[in-house]
Amino acid sequence: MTLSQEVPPLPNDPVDPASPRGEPVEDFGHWVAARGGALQRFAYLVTGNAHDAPDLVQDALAHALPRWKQLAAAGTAEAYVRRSIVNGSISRWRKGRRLVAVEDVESVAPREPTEDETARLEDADAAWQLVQSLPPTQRAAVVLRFYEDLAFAQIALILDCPETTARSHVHRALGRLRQQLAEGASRD
Amino acid sequence: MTDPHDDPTRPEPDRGVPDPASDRAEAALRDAFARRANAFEPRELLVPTRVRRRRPWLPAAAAVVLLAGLGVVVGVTTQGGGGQGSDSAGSAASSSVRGRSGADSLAAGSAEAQGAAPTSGPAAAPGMRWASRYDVEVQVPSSWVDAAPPTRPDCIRKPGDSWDDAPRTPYVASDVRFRSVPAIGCAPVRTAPAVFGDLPFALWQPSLSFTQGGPAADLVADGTWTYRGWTLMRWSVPGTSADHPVQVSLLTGPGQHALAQRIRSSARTFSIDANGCRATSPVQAADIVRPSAATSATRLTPTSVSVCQYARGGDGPGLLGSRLLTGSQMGALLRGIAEAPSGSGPNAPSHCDASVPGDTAIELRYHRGGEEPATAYVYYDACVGNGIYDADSTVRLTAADCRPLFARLPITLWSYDVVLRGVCRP
Repeated sequence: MTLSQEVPPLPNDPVDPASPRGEPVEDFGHWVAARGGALQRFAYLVTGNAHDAPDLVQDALAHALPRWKQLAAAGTAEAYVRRSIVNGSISRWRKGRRLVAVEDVESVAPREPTEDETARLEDADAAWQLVQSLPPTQRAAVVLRFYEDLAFAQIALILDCPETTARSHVHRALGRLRQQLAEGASRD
Repeated sequence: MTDPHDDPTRPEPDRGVPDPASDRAEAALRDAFARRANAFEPRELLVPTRVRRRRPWLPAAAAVVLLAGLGVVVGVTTQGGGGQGSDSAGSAASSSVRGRSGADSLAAGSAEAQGAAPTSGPAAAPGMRWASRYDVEVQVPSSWVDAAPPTRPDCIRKPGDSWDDAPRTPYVASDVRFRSVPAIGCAPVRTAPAVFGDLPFALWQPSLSFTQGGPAADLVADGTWTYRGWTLMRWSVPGTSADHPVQVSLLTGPGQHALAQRIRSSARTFSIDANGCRATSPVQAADIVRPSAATSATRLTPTSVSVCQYARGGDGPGLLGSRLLTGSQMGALLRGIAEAPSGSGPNAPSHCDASVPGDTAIELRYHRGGEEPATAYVYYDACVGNGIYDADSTVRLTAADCRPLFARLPITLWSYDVVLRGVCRP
């Protein structure tokens, strides 16, 4: 699959809000400044590594820069950069740099959680642990679905795979998590 | 019974809206991502800065001065037009030297210095030429060209890739402080110790560069380092100003130890370099100034003209590069000046920021025998005040009078207002 307009553009593709026709923003610097934080968060969730995330994004931007005009004009910049981030995470993973996340950037809870909150936190921790164990592409699919709220067609565009594959990545992960949560509940 | 969530072909629910059944696993994933993402602190990215400098508004009064003495200059042009300079007045120098011929390389160096340029030092040894920056000059082989160092060596992965603009011959590095550089993050492919920089080893060339220290720019440590037969020497040149010390970096390849020592031992300070340029010039001032000489330079009949480029706004030695024009090169320049309309321009006042001066300026020094050279100043990288100023006249920049100035490195034009596109550079 190529990056094209087969699916709706991603929500953050560089479109000039001042343009009556929604023309693409051609200023790469402005776009990076606007999207850098979100892209790093995406990279962090995909890699689980807070140190690798900015580097992955900057590598992806380096790849996008020479093609920026075309990407901005086609409305595929966001997809391209995200795909580069995912590809970068796969490369690092394949090179044996697969790191078990030992860091936890989460801040300390300011107060004692309620019983409901405790249950949700436990579920979220289980979900995070599961995501860390997934291969990079599947992990990216799950992040794109449940963090970025993207449609499967858009996930497929970014991951350069058929839509059914993107859907399969997500639902297999969901199935595993549901099973783990159910097993945890039965143990309780 | 099949769980509908596991059916990859099931219709997709509305994008971004969680299943109303509130699948616990989905909620857990959303919670996990949201909490981690919120706690993650993004790092400041180095974003590209495609600099389009805003130029200062300068007093309009400076722009309206009549050009005098056209007839005399035309006479000079005729006399100089049959000279043997090899430069084409209309050709612009490239910031890279890929593909530059050996003849060009020679022309870029000492071959231009055929005219009589008063200098404060000795002539270069046979086969060598002087390369000067600030108030330091060093002899390098005549075959070493002037070239811009790679823009982002840390982004070059391999020779020939999209970032690769590294010179392919030994070179003297131009001062590139005013060059626009994409400020994007790259992970360098580095095999040598960090002191050798980020350029991939396959692209190394013998090279010489100058660095000026000062209140806002500390110099790195002097020393000598080797890697796979290559030697990097970095030394501070004695005699330079304590406020503005100059450090020279020399990279030489295997078997060039004697050459390296020869280059190093030739380093000296100067007041006037081999091309007849002063280390410091009034044209460095942030404000536009006019030469105070009693005689207008453009009325004279020179035997050679020094083209001396300076960084503006500093008080130390600011020479960024120099050339000496003789023969046809000088003739083309003088003819262009003689035929230029009087007054300042091209200007675009609407592009201006009045508080920001231009980055660089040029002093032209007209040599005539043993007399003190007459000077003219050239301003070209602003949106107002552009032109060639002598003691009592100003002429506009045109392709004919401006391009000869920038025909070759190390004199270069890194930034200019859009109104000068097609004027000083093609």
